[in-house]
Amino acid sequence: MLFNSIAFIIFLPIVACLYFLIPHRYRTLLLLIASGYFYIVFVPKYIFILLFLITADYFLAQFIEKETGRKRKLLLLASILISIGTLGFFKYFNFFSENVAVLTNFLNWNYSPAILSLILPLGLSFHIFTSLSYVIEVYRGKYKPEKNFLTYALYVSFFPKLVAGPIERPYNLLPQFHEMHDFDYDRITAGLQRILWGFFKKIVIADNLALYVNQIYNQPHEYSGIVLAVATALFAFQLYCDFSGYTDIAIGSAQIFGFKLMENFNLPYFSVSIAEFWRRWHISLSSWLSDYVYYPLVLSSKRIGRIKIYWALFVTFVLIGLWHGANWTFIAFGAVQGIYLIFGQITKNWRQRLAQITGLSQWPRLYRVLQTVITFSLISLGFVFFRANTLSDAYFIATSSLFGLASLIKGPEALMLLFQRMGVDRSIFLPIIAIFIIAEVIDFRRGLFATINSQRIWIRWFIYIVAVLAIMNLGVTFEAPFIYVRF
Amino acid sequence: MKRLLFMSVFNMKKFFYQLIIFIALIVIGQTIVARYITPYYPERLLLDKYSRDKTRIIYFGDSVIKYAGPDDKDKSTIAEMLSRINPTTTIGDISHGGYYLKIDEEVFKYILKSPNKPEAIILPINLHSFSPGVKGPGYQFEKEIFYLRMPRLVTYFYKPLAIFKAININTVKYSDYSQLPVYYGKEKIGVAGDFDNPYVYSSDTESVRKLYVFTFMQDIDKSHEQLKSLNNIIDLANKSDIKSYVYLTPINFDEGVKYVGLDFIKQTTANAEVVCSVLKEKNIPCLNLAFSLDSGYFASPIYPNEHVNEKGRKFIAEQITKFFLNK
Repeated sequence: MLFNSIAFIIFLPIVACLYFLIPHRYRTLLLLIASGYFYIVFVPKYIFILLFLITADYFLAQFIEKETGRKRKLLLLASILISIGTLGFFKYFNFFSENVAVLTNFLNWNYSPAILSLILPLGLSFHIFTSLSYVIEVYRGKYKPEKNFLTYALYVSFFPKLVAGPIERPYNLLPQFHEMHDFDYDRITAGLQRILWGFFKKIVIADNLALYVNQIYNQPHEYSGIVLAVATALFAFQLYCDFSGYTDIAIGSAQIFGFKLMENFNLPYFSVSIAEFWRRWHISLSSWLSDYVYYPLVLSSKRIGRIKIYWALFVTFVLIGLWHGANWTFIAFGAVQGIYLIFGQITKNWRQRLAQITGLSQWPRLYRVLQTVITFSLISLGFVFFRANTLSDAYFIATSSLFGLASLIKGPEALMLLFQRMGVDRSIFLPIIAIFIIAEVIDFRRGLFATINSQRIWIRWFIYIVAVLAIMNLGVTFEAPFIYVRF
Repeated sequence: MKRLLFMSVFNMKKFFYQLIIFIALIVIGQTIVARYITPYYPERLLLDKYSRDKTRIIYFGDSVIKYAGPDDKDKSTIAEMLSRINPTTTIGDISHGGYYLKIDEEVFKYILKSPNKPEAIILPINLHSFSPGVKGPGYQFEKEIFYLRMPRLVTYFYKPLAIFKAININTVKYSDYSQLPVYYGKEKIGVAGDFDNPYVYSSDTESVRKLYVFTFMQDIDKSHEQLKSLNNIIDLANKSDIKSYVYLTPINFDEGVKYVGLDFIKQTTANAEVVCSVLKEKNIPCLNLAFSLDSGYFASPIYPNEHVNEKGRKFIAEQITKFFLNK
């Protein structure tokens, strides 16, 4: 079931009403059944994969807790192998097979690749990482394994975060399933506010931006320069509104039931460096890889040199890229981010010195704006690899976008030409972007919901009604699933 | 504990009362938006107006009946020209984005439910509409059919229902449509995807030839779904004592011959005869204007479409008057 479907609009209030009407002891079961239903609406048979992974990790974690030494390590290894093996089979098998074929052809060996007709189970990467973090935390002795199978199953499969995260940690979510949550007016209205904002970002902004971005990215060679540059910047907004919109709906839905999911975004486009961006963007994934890949790599030996840090950074970000999908474009996306970070580390002192020499450091606000713009530009350029259909398309778009930015400086006539070529309906398109940017600035300065909640009731209601009507009328009617659902 | 329970129940009541008020405001707001600010299918309002005005003749059609070329001095539609020639009658036109009798059938059913029915309908048949192209995603008119079938209040929620996929407005997927067989006469020459690809358009000679073949060269018989709809419309009109004036709209046969050869005339003549034979069985006269105008009367000579210029529209209006209205 997708969040942006009528099925979910009906499903959520029914489950919420039942949740508050039944005794606390049955609530886990109710949420588990609801989550199972939520999942089987996509492809019913994939519930068995989910069930298998839940059962395997539940028992392995119990055994890990009881064992010590080598056996304990072997059990952890078994859990990792099952999880990564399942992920690898469904997500990476064909990619691996195709690339082996390319290599063997290059070496003039006769090899025909085995290509399986597999459909990736929705949200597989998300619930495998959720499950893995639980087993690793139990192995590290930081978390006691959950005794109740149903509670553990709900931890992995809780429907708001099942198909696109946030990737939860056991110590944040599991204890909440043992708490009793009453009907709380303030909490529920706050959850609904969050859902509303999520829908606005996804349906009004992301889906409309997708119209233009898809048109250009699906035939990039038809366009050049400035059009590609603007489409690239628009994709950055589309991706953010799509994914953070999903996260808002997930967090808001969980909040209605009384659960607090971890935040996944913290105004990432206000970052002043790439490192800060990755602390604010898809936080649950970047912190997961930081905890379970980057730090273990860095701390794997006693000596922590610069080269080792850079190597760990690079590997972590290539894995982030690969996590997104079995395609060289995603690997390149991760590698570019890794290179950005390493370059940022190497040049940190030089850049600070440059700011002092030019006098920029004496104008902290201007300096910050400049850093934000540069960071956003670099991130947008990196997202070219995320969105482009092929590596050659990505190269074409990235290089043309750089020239496009140069022509942007030429004057407003270039922008007018851009709008004409894109066929942009400015009467709707530009105000939507403007509203979003204003909302983000308010969120950055004072907090968006805090600002709304401080208004008089009729202003608040006016904002809610306008937002709902915008969602109901400005969305697109073609199929527009959330981007991250396919990961 | 009791106090907590009281607060919880009090909060719940407060929440649900507010929710009901909020939903009511949203319904009112959506009604205002869909009725007055952005009506998604104003044609339904137009049909209601025709009924209120007791319009005597309803003229069905697509963009051809409204199109005016850039060089036209008189930009009047065919219905407006007809009204000028026949000042004693009232004519209202209703058009949609492509000749497709299924939508005409739906519109007619809607008209029949209105308090004041017309005395006659004018129904143009375009040989273009027998192309496999009308089976494609863009010609299913799901939105229009939804508007014509549903109660008015429900139609105000068309857009949100479509956004949240509560109604299927993409009944035909391009991937399915692209596999439909395409015939040259009776011989299968490929699939729709070979001829009609929305992502590739070229104006070279071979591409235009393929488009003419795709549009006009398929052999048709009386079981064609367009002709089924035509039969249904005539039957419904007969039952309600409404006259049916049916004509075959001009096609740009000069260009067709140029790109396809004389086969073009043979095939389109045969297809026109099938249409007229269906009308004959219902005792409806067939005004065949398909081959009445040379390419000088058409506004766009390249792509196969039947948009006529001022002279062409005037010709059609005069022929309808002579053949039907002046009798």
